[in-house]
Amino acid sequence: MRNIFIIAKGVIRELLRRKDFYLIFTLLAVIMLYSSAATFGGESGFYRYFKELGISLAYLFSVIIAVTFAARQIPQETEEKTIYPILAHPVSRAEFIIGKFTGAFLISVISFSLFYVAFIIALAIRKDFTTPWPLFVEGYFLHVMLLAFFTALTVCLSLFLSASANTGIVLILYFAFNWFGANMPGYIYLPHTELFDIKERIVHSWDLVPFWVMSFLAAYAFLYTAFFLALACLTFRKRDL
Amino acid sequence: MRRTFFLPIVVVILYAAAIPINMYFKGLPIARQHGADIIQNIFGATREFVADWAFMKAEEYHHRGLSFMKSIAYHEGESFTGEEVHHAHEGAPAAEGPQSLFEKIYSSVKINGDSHLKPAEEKESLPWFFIEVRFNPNDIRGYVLGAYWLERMGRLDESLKFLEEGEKNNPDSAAVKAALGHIYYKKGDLGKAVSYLEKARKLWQGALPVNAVSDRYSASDKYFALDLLGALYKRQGRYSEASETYVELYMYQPNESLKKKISNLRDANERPAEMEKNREDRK
Repeated sequence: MRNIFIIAKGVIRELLRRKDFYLIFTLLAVIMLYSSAATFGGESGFYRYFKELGISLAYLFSVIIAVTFAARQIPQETEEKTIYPILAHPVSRAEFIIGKFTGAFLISVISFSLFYVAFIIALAIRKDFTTPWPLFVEGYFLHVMLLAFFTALTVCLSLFLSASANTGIVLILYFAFNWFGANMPGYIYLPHTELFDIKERIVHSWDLVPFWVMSFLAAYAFLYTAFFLALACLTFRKRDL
Repeated sequence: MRRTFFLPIVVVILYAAAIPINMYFKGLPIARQHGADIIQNIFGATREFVADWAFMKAEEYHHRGLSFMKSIAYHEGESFTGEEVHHAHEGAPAAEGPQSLFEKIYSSVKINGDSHLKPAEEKESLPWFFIEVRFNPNDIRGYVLGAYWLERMGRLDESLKFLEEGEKNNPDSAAVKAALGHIYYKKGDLGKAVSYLEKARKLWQGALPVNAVSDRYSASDKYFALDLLGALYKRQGRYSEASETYVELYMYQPNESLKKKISNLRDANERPAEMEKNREDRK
């Protein structure tokens, strides 16, 4: 466990060192500022439009951070040969994979939390209290589950694909699942990640998602995450480095 | 910065920046001269896809988050205002009959009941109509519906401005001209209202594909315009033209009340001629 956290800490340090996060956060703030002042047909103060934009960007940017960070972890370590000194320590290959996953997952959760808090502060400044706060909590929880799913999938695919191909494929999957959802052919056999997006409920202030559904979705995301990580550990264990 | 990160960021920046850049670009003399539009230049055919998506978003907002396809399915049935829906929707699944586990979860997570925005919230769908026509200036539906919502909010001048932009971009559109006629009628300028409605009628009589009446929405726009034109002719004492317009409308929508209107108008039209004839006879 200690080894996992040491590896994860190294990944998290990368978030602070790199400029990506700051750039994305600034971009989010600028877009939200711009959209809050938007007027259409002489009308202003569009609550739903602002909520939609804010929450969509928080979701999208955190997924981009999760996928791009997770995609480059293992290929970068292998390419730069820094993986050898790590594995020379008493660190198992499974611990290495899970450590990388934990780091990338925590990075995305930290980023998403900051984006989400900024979004909720912006709503409070606009005196928009139309959405019940437990719905925001549910939205946050479900998206964290989604981040775990996509981080694990990306870590797993990073053993087979280059960082850029992996990022492209996973982002395409993210958009395809979210946009086309249950309309995709053979979709019953594919993961239902669109179930983790309750943006419409938040934007249009609908009722809460029942507790049993939240629990089911948590278990669903956990099982998929565990499956992708198990697959990654199994593949990495047999790999010649 | 790594390439992997660079591309998604660029795409998001482009999408976010396109609207203000476009507005600025359109204001430049060179752009006015060539009729250039930076959104059309950057996005090419994708802009039509984005415009359609924006239209679906507007519909989704009007139905308080219900997806476009589902709202179409529901349109024939009952719907509620935002105040009523919480009671009506509670525990009422959309699909009839027993639901599978997936359906149960799906209907708990996604919006499943049909309801409409409260009157005070109706402006919420406006941004999407503006985005729709920014991306596709030939999207007549965006102009007509956007103007309709502006008119419902009492913003007649903004509605007129929006439609005038639509007319500039779509000079052959009967629907835009009819909507302009309707707004002028609402503003009390009956002369302009009749003029625009006549232009719309002529365009509909022509065979341009842009004015094809292909669904019940475009059909109802056309019938409404003809009905208004007939009423305005009648108000101006132009009984024969009013009768002609109603006869045309009767061809599409035969009903007893319209038949009576036509008959009354014919009587009114013949009355002055009869009076003249009687006067001649008396002499």
